[in-house]
Amino acid sequence: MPSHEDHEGLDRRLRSALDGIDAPDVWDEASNPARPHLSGGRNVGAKRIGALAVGVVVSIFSVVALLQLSPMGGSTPGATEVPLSTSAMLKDLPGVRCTASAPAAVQPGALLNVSYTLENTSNESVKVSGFPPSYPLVVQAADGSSWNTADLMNHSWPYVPGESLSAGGSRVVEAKDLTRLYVQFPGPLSVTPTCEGQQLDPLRVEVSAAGGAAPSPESAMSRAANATSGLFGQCMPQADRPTIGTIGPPPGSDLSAFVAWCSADVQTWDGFSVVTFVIVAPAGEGPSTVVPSGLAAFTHLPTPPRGSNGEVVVWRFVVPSEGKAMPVGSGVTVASTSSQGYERWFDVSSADWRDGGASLCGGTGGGGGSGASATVVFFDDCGE
Amino acid sequence: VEVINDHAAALERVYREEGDRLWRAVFAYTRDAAISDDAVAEAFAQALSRGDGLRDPARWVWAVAFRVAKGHLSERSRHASVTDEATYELAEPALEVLDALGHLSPKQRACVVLHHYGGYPVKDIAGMLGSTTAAVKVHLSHGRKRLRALLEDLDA
Repeated sequence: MPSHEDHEGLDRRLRSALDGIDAPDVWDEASNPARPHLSGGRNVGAKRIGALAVGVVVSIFSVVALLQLSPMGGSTPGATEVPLSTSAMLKDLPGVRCTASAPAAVQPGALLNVSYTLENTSNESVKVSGFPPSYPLVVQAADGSSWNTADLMNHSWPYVPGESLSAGGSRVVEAKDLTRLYVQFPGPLSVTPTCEGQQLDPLRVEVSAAGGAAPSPESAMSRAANATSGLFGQCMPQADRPTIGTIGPPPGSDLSAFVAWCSADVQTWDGFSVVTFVIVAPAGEGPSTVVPSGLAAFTHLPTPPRGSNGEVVVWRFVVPSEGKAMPVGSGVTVASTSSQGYERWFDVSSADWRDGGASLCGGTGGGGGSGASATVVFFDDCGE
Repeated sequence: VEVINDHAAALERVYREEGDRLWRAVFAYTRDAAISDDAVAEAFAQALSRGDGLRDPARWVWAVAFRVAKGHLSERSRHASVTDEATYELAEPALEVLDALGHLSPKQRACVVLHHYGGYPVKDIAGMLGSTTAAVKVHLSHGRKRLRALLEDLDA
């Protein structure tokens, strides 16, 4: 078995060899807000020929079984470059070019920031919709899972009038104005944007967790629960072990707590965890309620049985190795018995509870959003 | 603005202290100067964009640089059908060590470089690479053994 001295010998050997290599100063590049990324089409091939140190000239790649080399933006542009943007002429809008752009790397929990630039290259004005359902994103994650924001759009939308693009004009459609998708999957990601209903070529986006190991499932759940303004105070499940408890109303409310079945699923990826909480009421429906994998969206959730007062709430968090848990998706479906009373809706965020309004009891429904808050419904005024 | 400037100045200090060593470590891992440039610049760019919330900026940028480099390596291996006869000038001792490191698996190489050149303990490396301490210990042990044998052959 090698001794401590042997290890020190290896340290010395590596240091003396590697410290002889000239390292370029990349600070200016790092601190330049507009810095190009490697995957952004910079001509890496040209940079490969670098004077690293004085000494022997060697064709290193002919003698090293290290790693096979690809051009990545070298002499065969397009064939191997990893794009930061993808562009196409739109078939249904003659003369309009759409370019989708994404950052080279995103952090877990962050908005997947894909924006679109529409340019009218024709001599006539063209009407573009900017309608969110015409811009779904499909993400293939490194674990083989697939995520489609169209799943979040399967509901009615308010009318969007569209916009006329004059000849030579352009318009930017930003990610924040579309259905938001937060990074909750392991990278690298293959992101296929859709622009005005036309799929573009995929973009490759890295997921770079901010150092440190992913939290343990217990820690991830605890930190996620801490970001729910006490929602799980009396209904805190263990990892993969649901519990039955009560969901209380917001402080100062005269509403009653209700009994619920609470569960949590924890997935652990490279440097971060994803915690998905589920609340089911009536609690007896919990064990038979199956929340499909995929985006935490009310369009995915089962609806409680008609004629009962019940709800299914899902709220998902990304928990990094350090820092706060970040909500990335939520949804709720409800059913209530007809009466003249009103369901009371509340939006629960990391910061507080907010009155989300009232809805006449009866029938079924649902709602949800980016996940910054989850919706919890109280049925005190609905019939039995 | 003052806080931002303080943060940037603090990170630049980290860069001045760690940047060269980090670049060499990423280069020893990837054997690609362009990837090393980008990984180091990207790590510091991300650190700058995060404000002053990093507890240990040095460790953080090492981790991010290796992750970015790892991503580029994956991409490179996927597009490995085209070869590029790039030529570098390297001093003999560096070349020998880099050649030897090249015979290790990427995971072994990352662990050996981070531990024996970066000076990071096993637990930190596990965090940086998104692995477990047990796995890092195994990669480190195998990588070390192989590297020693390769270097001894060269010395003989």
